[in-house]
Amino acid sequence: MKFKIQFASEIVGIFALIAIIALATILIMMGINQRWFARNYYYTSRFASGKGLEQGMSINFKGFEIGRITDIYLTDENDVEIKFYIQDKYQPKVFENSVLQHTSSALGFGGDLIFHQGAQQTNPLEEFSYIPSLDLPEGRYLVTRGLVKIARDEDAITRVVDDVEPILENVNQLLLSLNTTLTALNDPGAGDSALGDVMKNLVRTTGDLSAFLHQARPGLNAIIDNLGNMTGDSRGLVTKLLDPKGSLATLLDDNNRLFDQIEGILRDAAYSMGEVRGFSTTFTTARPQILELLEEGRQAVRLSQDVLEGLRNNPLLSGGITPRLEAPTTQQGYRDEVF
Amino acid sequence: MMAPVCKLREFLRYLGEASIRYARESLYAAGYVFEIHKRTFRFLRHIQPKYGYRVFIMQMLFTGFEALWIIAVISLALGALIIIQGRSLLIQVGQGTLVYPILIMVITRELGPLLTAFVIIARSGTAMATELGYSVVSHEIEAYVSFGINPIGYLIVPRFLGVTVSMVILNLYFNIFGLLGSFIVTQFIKPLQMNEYVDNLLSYLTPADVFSSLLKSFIFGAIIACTATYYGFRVERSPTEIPQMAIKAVSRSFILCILADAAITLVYYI
Repeated sequence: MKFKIQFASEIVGIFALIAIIALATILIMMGINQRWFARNYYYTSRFASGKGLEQGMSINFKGFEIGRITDIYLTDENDVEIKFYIQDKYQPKVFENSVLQHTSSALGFGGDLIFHQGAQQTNPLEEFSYIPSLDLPEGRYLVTRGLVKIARDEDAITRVVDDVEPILENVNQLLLSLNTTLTALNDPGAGDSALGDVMKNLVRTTGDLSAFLHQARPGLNAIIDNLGNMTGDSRGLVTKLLDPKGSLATLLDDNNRLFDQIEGILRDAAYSMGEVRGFSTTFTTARPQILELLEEGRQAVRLSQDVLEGLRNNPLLSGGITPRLEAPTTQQGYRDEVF
Repeated sequence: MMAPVCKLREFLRYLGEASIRYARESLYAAGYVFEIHKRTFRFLRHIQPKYGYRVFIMQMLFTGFEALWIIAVISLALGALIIIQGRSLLIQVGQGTLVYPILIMVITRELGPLLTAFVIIARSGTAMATELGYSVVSHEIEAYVSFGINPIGYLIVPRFLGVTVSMVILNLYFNIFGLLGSFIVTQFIKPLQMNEYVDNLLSYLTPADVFSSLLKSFIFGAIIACTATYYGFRVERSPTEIPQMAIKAVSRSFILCILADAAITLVYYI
């Protein structure tokens, strides 16, 4: 009888046993690798949008996966709340003031959820605590105060973009403010603009001043009379100042140098005022063009911001430049050594 | 005017008769499958423990053990190809680790069970249909019945169990060779770190993948065994019917396995 037929039961037994052992081994290794029986510490966080966030998404810290998202839901305040866990061996690194940052790729290669550790070493945050994200003001506030360590990205382009981004944001804010101000200036008669309010107040104040002067006229007349008396008094201060031997005469007896200087200053001032008037006339004429220019500038800055963000998220550029393989030329000289 | 009406009537009659024929065949096949499962439960509960055991072992030997080398070659080559080509391509876009989920998706979830099923259909499906067809032609089945032996309980159930269990075991081997053996092959072409490879692979492999793969192989095994034996018994009297039925068994098994694969995959993703 053939060997295989004679020992069919044994062969089939070994055949099945090896498969079962292999399956069990793979399952055990999977359990160890995926920490099926390890302790996880759960936390919550909030984001402005759920785009790019998904259940099972990993949370990375310095390139290591330290946890995963378990739940995502929309709150009554329309924030996106996530529940996530941190592995037991990384939980001691969760200091107070730690934040989460969600970065997404524009090319659809998914995104990253990055954990940034609090700057001060404290006791680990208790389980089920809230860890803010950089999407919301509370997270950004911690960064502004320097309470969180934001790791510098290794990628050169990303680093440049990181540096440029706040500047662009400030420029954008400035341009927006300028735009708002110029729009208000351009429409002063609307009544509800700031300049309109100022004009209204000025008219009101002038009226009030007129009424006040009308009421105060008797008192002012009395004061003027007193001044007249003072100048008429031969022993008074004014008389002494006007005395040809007095200090004022001495001060003014300088061959008109002081007067010349004052006159020069006044001439310069008059010239400057003329220039200012000319400038204001030109500015008023060119205001629509300036507004248009500013608006175009603002749009250009926004477009540049998008381009830089695209560059930063572009995995092709993030990976650097692929080294080229130098292919040997197929054309050979006729007078080489072999020939 | 009358000719088109007659043609339409003939067409409708043909359609009706074909529908009735297919409905009858489907009902008969459903009854056959039910009978196999009923007898299998009896076999497993040791109501008829003796006479089918040797057939079961021999079926596992022929279907499982003897097909092992074919499965090993296919899975090793497939796994190595995926690793080499996938890594070369994905590294260029900075996504080198995506090769592991792709490997699991292709080897474990899709091609593992399907290619194993195709090998078993080609080897054992045809063999079973032919063997049973000859048994019918040579009146062996009538002899079993005359001795009071149920042919389904004696001939079909051990084959059904043998093919199904072999299919599951061969699929496990396909995964082992495809996922781990291909790593060894890759070392000769593009070396990888063993720790890195195993850690990444195990971190992407989920119990759902393993369960899905085992479920598919179990269902494919059952489909192949039922289809091959069904068409083996469909032979009536002439030996020329045997190859016809064997071809039908193979083609129907392929179609049913692919449909079942699509259905299971849909359920997995829904």
